[in-house]
Amino acid sequence: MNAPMSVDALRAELVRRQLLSPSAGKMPAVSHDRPWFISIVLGAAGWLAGVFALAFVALLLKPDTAGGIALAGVMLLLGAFFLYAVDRDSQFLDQFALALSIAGQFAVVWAADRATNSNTATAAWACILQVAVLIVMPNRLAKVLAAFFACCAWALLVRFGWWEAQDFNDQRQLMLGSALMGWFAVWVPIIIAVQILVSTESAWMSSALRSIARAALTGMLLSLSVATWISEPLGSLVFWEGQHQKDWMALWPLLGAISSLLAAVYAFRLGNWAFIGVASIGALLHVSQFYYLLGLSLLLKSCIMLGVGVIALIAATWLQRRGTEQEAAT
Amino acid sequence: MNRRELDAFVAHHNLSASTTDAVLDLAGARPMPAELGQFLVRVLQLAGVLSLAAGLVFFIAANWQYVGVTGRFALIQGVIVASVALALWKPAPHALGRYALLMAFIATGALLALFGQTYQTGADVYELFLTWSLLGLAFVVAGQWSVLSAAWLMVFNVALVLFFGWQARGGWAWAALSLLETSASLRLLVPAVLNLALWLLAEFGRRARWSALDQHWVSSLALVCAFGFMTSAGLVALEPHTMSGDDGMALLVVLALETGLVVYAMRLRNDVFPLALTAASLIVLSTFAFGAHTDFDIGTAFMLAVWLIVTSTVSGRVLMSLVRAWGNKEEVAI
Repeated sequence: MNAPMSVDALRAELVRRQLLSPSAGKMPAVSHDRPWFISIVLGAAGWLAGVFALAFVALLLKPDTAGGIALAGVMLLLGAFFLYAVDRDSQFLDQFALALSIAGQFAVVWAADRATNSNTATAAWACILQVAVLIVMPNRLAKVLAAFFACCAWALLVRFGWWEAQDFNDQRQLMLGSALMGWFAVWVPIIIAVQILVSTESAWMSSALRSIARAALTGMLLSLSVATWISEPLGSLVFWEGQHQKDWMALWPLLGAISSLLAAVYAFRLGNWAFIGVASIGALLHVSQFYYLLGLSLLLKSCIMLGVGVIALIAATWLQRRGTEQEAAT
Repeated sequence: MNRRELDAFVAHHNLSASTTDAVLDLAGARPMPAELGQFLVRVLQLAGVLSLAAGLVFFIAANWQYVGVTGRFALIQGVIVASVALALWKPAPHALGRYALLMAFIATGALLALFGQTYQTGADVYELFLTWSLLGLAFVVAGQWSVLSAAWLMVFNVALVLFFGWQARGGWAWAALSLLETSASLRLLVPAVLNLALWLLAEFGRRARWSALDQHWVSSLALVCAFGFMTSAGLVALEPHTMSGDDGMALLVVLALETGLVVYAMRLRNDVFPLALTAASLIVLSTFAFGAHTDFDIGTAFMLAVWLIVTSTVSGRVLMSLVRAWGNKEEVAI
C-alpha cells in the first residue's frame, strides 16, 4: 500500500499528472464520515424504534387482514422515503426515517407471511423487499441494512425452499452432498458478487451506481461474516434435545467461519480494519455454533477441525514459500 | 482517506474509471499483491492454529471411550509441552512462538476441563475459567501479542459472567463474596470495575508501547466488557417490583462511573469510543426504565419509539461533533 494521502495532496498529485484540471474546484469536507461504532448505536436504536413504531401503528389501526397490514407497511416505507429525500443532514430526520423504514419492512413481511402462510414465500418477499429498499432508499445506513437483510432472507429462502422446513427445528437427515450444495447455493453467488464488486471498484466508483454498489458491498461483507450464524439463531440453543440422526447441516457454521475469513480478506483489500474485526468475531461465533449444533458427533467435529487446521497451515506455508520465491526472483 | 471520502472525491470531480484507478493507488487504498499475500498467510496461520486448538477441545469434550484417561491427559499435556518447547525454540515476537503460546493457552483450558470431567471435582464452571485465566497469564506475558491478550480477556470475562452474572454459589470466590450481603446489581459492579482497571492498564500499556497491549482494540474490548457489566447492573437495578436501596446505590455508582469516563474522555480529547459506549448504555437503561415501569399500550409504544429516536439523534449529533473536533484518526468509517 502507498502511504495514505490527504485530499489536498491527492488533488495536487492528480493535477501534476494532468489527470485533473488545475481549475477543478476543491472538494467540500465530507459530512458523514461516521465511525463504525456510532453507526451501530444509531442503527440499533433506529431498528428498535422501528419495532415500537410498528407496534404503535398496529395498536392504532388494528389491521387484521394481509392487505391492511401491507398498506400500513407501504405507507410507512413511503413516509421513510420522503423523510430521507427531504433530509438535509438532519440526524433527527435520518433516525425517524430509519425507524419508519424498519417498521414498514416488518409490516410488509408480516403481511406476506399472513397472505401466503409459507416460510419460503415470506423469505422470498423479504428478499425482494430488501433489494428494493437497497435500490430506492436514499440513505446509506438504510441501504447497508437492506443489503445485509437481503442476504439473510436469501439464505432462509434457499433453506426453506430446498428442504421445505416448517421451522428452524424441523428434524432432518441431510446427506453431506445435499448440505454442501445448499450452502454453496446460498453463499457462492454472494461471494461471486463481492469478488466482482471489489475487482471492478474503480468502474462503479466513477458511475452513478456508486451509492448502491458501496452499500451492497458493505452489506454483503457483513452477511458473509455473520449471516450463517444469524440465519439459524436458535440452532445452537437446542443442544439439550435428544437427536441422534446424522445431519450434515451441522457443517454450515464451519463453512460460515470460512466465509467470515474470506470476508476479512476482502475487508483488507478495501482497507477496512473495522470489518476485519467484525469478520474475526463472526468466525469465532460460527465455530462456537459448530460446537453446539446437533447432527454430527463431537468426535467427527474434532476430526474435521483438525483437518481444517492442517490444511490451513499447509496452505499458509505454501503461500509463504511462494511469496519468498517471488521476492527472491524480483 | 477512507472509502467514503474517496467516493466523495471521485463524485465531486466526476473522474473516469481509469483516473479513479489512479486515485485508489495514490491514496494507498489498495494493498500491493505482496501485502495481500502476507495478510493471507497470517489469516491462514491463525485460523490453522485455532482450528487445531478447537479440534483438541472438541476431542476432549467428545469423551471418546477408546482413549483412556491416561491417554487423554498425555495428549493434552503433550500438546502443552510441545507448544512451550516451540515457544522456547522460537520465542515471541517470532510468529511461531506466538502461535505456540496461543495453542498452549487454549490447551491449558482443555486440560482443566478434562481434569474436572475425569475426577468430578465438583468445581463450578466459573472456577475452571478463573483458574484457566490465572494459569494462562504466564503465556500472555510471554507471548507479548494482542491476540493472546484478547483471548485471555475473553476467558477472564467468561469467568466473571459465570460467577457474577449467573450467581454461581460455590468455590472460594463465592465464600469470599458471600461475606458481603449485597444485591445482584451491586455485585455486577465488581466485574465492571475490574474491567475498567484492565482498560486503564491496557491504555497505559499502549502508551508505554508494551507489545501485548499495543493495539487499541484490546483496550476497547476491555471497555466494552466493562460497559456490558455496568449496563447489566443498571438493568438488574431497574427491574420493576424488586427495587431496593442497594439497587438505587448500584444505579448511582453506574452513573458516577459513566460520568467519570465521560470527564476522562473529554479531558484527553482523542477517542470518542468511551462516549459512544456511554451513550449506548444510557439509551438502553433509560428505554428499559421507561418500558418496564409502565403498562405497554399504544401510548407507551409511541413514546418508546420517539424516545429512542430523540436520544439516538442527540447522541449521534454530539458524538459526530466531537469526532470532527478531535479527529477520528484511530477509527475507520463504514
